[in-house]
Amino acid sequence: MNTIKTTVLDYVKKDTVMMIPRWKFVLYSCLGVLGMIFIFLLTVFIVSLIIFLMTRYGLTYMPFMDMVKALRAVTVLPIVLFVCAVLLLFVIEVLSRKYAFTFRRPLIVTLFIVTSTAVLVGFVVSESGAHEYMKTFAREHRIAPMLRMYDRPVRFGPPNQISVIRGEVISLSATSATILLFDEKSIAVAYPRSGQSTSSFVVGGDVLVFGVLENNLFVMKSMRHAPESSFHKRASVNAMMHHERMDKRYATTTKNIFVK
Amino acid sequence: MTMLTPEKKDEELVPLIIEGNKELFGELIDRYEQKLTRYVKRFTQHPDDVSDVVQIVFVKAYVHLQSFDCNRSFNSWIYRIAHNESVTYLKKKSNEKVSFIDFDIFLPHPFAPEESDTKTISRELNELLETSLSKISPKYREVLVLYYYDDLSYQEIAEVLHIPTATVGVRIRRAKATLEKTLIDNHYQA
Repeated sequence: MNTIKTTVLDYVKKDTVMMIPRWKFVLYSCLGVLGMIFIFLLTVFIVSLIIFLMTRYGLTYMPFMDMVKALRAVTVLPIVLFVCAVLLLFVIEVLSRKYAFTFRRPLIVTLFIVTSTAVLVGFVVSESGAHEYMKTFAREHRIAPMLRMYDRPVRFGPPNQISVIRGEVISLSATSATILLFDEKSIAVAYPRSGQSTSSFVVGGDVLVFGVLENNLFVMKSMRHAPESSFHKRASVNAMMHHERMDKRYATTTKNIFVK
Repeated sequence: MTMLTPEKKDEELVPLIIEGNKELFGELIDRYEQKLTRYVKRFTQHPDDVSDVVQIVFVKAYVHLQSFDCNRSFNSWIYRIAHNESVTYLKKKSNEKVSFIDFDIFLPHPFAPEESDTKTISRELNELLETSLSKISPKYREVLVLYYYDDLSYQEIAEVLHIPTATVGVRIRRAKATLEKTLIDNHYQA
């Protein structure tokens, strides 16, 4: 008998080395898969948050291939969240690389599949109105970390560069309109000198305004309405129903207190 | 060397060992000891510690035996453990940089062959290869050893190294080119 065989069999027979039971491997696999699902969901949440924050600049309503849009997208991109999302995608790729269905394929293919899935699901989550609901929830319950996440200051493009803002028209005058931006700050928008019709401005309307920021005044070049998507409408209805339920519950609780 | 169940495949022996026939693990050792010793020796290029590394491979194989899926190849599974142990050993002992991350696995190689032209090598070339293997990087050395010496198929090598099958072909081609260049350089220097 050779040395290696003798030594190893000696270890095995004397139980110096013992087999790890199968349930432990099953448990580790389950934990690994759950961990990967959790990281994927976290990535989807971050991606959807990025899309949601960028959508508030009206980017989704602008022409698809447009230089203004591209530059604006770069300006308003939440860099920290973007870096987090990229890192998490990298972690998913590294963790999944030990499974045959991943390592049998080129890295670029699996990375593309994971990234596109995360972006697609993130887009659906963003459009479902979940973030709108969470933002309202954070405001109502004054949850500071969530508020910091959602109520970010509006970013404008570089001076004298065309930029786009999105918000609600709150007042109109002969020369300008005041728009409430998503960070609850208002900005004055000067009508264009070219005499373009501004009749589309209606108080309460959700608008996209293209223009240039000059000394705290946004000089408008053109504008368009931001149409509500069906997802947003559904989200608004859901939010409204939630508020109604909360009101009813509050009324019942108050009634009970008074009865007592 | 006594074969207790020569007719049984490796994959069939594993459930019997798990059930308690510890003696049968000795048969698996008999079947793989020489192969793994040759592989580790050529891959690490450190003949002194080969038996230690192979011993660790068998101990780890026994400890993790219940994680083995009997529907898959035991050969690839044990070679994977040997690969991991060899890489760990090289990282500890060797001064040369061991890097297995490269751009080969990034992009698809649609035109890479799924099997090389021929596996037969002459005795002279074999001797030449033995002496030149140490001069190429471990990444390329390993695919040559697995393909030409251990007789593994592209699919099995892909399973062992956790890389796409087409990448195995690309690596073997590059390894041969590197080896050829090394041999020519040596010839001119001599």
